[in-house]
Amino acid sequence: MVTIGNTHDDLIHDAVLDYYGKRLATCSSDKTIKIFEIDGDNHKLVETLRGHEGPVWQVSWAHPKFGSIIASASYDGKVFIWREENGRWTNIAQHQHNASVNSVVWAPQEYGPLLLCASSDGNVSVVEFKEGGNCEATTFAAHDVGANSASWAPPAVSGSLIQPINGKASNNIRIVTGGCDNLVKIWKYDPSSKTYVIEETLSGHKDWVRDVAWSSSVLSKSYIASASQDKTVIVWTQEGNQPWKKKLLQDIPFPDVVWKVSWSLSGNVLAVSGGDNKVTLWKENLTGEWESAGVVEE
Amino acid sequence: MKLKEIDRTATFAWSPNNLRIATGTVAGTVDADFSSSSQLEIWDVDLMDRSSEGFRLTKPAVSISADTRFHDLVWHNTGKHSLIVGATESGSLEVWEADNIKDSSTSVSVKEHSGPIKTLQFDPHNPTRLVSGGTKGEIFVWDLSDPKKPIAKKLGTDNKAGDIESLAFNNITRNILATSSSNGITTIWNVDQNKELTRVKHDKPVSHVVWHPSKPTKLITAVADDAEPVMLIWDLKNANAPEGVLQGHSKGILSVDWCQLDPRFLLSCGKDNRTLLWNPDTHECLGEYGAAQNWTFKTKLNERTPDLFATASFEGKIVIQTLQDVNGGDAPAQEGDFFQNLGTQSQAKISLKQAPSWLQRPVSNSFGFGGKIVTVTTTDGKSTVQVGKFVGD
Repeated sequence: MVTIGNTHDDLIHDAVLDYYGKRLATCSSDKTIKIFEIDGDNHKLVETLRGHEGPVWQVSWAHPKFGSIIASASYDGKVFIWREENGRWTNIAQHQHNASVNSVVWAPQEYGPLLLCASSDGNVSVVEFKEGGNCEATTFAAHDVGANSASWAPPAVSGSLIQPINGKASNNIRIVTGGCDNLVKIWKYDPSSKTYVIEETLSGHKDWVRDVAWSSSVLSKSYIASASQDKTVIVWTQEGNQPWKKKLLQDIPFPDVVWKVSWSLSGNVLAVSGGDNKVTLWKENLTGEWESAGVVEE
Repeated sequence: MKLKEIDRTATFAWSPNNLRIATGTVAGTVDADFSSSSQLEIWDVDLMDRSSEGFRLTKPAVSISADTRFHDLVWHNTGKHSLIVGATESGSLEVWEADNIKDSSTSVSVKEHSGPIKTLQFDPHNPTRLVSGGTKGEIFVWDLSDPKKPIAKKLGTDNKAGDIESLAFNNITRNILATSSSNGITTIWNVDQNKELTRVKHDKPVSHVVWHPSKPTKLITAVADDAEPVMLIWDLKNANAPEGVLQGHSKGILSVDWCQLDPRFLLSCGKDNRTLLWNPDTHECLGEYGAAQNWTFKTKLNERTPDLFATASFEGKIVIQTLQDVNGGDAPAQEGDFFQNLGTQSQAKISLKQAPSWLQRPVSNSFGFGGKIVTVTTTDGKSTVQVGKFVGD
């Protein structure tokens, strides 16, 4: 168990382990990102990344095959890409929205170095980093009064056990987004128009959608969890090409706003963080009900 | 960033249900053609359309002619009805069921005031109760349980000096109402007891009064006078003198809105054509939005999404824009606007030093290799990160 307190000068908004679980990146309203090395129960601060002009809301580690790379999203409307080489971190690229960037997440590595960003300007963008250091952004209007979160679908069609081999599965890229219009929206990449087109609009929440997470599970169904200001979590499922079905994670509301939902690496366990500081773990049982999946061991 | 513009010289009200805005031709102005007609209109604000063609809203979803012009407009859900209520120049209270507006005959028109009605507000603690204030100090408390038969009761006594320019129900304590007058006096009432509790006095006309969103004894009054264009911050625990002053406008202030979701944000606009953003806690001006070319007389945040607000001006425009502005970006250039825009400062300059509380996620979680889970929690403004383990994946 590693506990880190008193390292940032203000609220911490996100903390994410790298691919190997050896390094932890945290980000804060103090405008910085900090990198820690984690070894057993010990941790050591190795770097503080400065450059953002506002609170940093989220960080994401790229797959190690692209290098030692972090993306960060800030209230200042910017996304920074940071790379570590020989122990030195530098800001190697940036991407801009017209308002606070609330979420940033690298694509599954099969898609290549693609970065998904959601902004209070209502737009969602996908930035592609090309050989030679150029990058190209595809930006589209997603939620009228602000996008809060976005997440990638796993790189395989649901129901298929065949993973794409070699190169990119770019013909099947899908993403899910959530926003201040209380909606969850699913988008599909359209190679002919080279942008993302709406595939499904899922309504069910009565207040802002704070977070969306698409499970990496590629077994029989697709799973998307959405967390809301309305104190509920909805799990949306789809079998094959059938319509999406919605189910409340629990019928009674959570005690406070639900800010964050994440799926475990296998995609079977859902972690839910509420404004009451409680983290609960959930999994689906054989009858399709969601039940406790134990607790985080302290 | 400016998102939409409506070409009307009108007072307005946001819909409490969706992204719509109601506008009513404002009283006290004259059109280019000297007509005295009046419209009540409802507009769909399609923010998914950010094209330059979609910037200017041209087709109202609903448009009816009204018998008289408006000083104020409110849009409110009573539980049973979604009501648009207008305060009119003729002194009548006009009540529409928002979903059922077809022509002018659909309004219920009630006349209790002896002169024009200047201002309206619904009671946040009682969804069917509305107060109206007008000339000669007249204040009425309305029961709109049945919007077809509004019942009025007079508050206070007759023939006070000055017009009631603004009124506001306390956000925390029930039955407490503040009314501000052109004679500089702000009166605090207990509405149920029909009793004056106290007064806050200033020697200049007050244009607007707002209560603190969460502290029941704090309020702000805005001064309409060009010689002293300030907002005064009062704490009724000591009503003898204001405890703070917001200073920055160069001419009289006409309208103020205090953000309910984050009390560190307050908007004001006035006769200097400007709309300013403030932190009332630190008394600091956080920035300024692109100025209009005539008085800005009303500014109001969208309650459902306080990142959006609208400002109405005598320039003949209602501008819908975002509270946050990271790069001073502005409306797409409109053809023919070049000369019109010459010499006006249309760029917003907003400090980023204060992120809205509604964006500040206090908790988080993420999974890592080997059954690890990282959690962020926040207690008393201090965050803790823990890397723990879980079983059962």
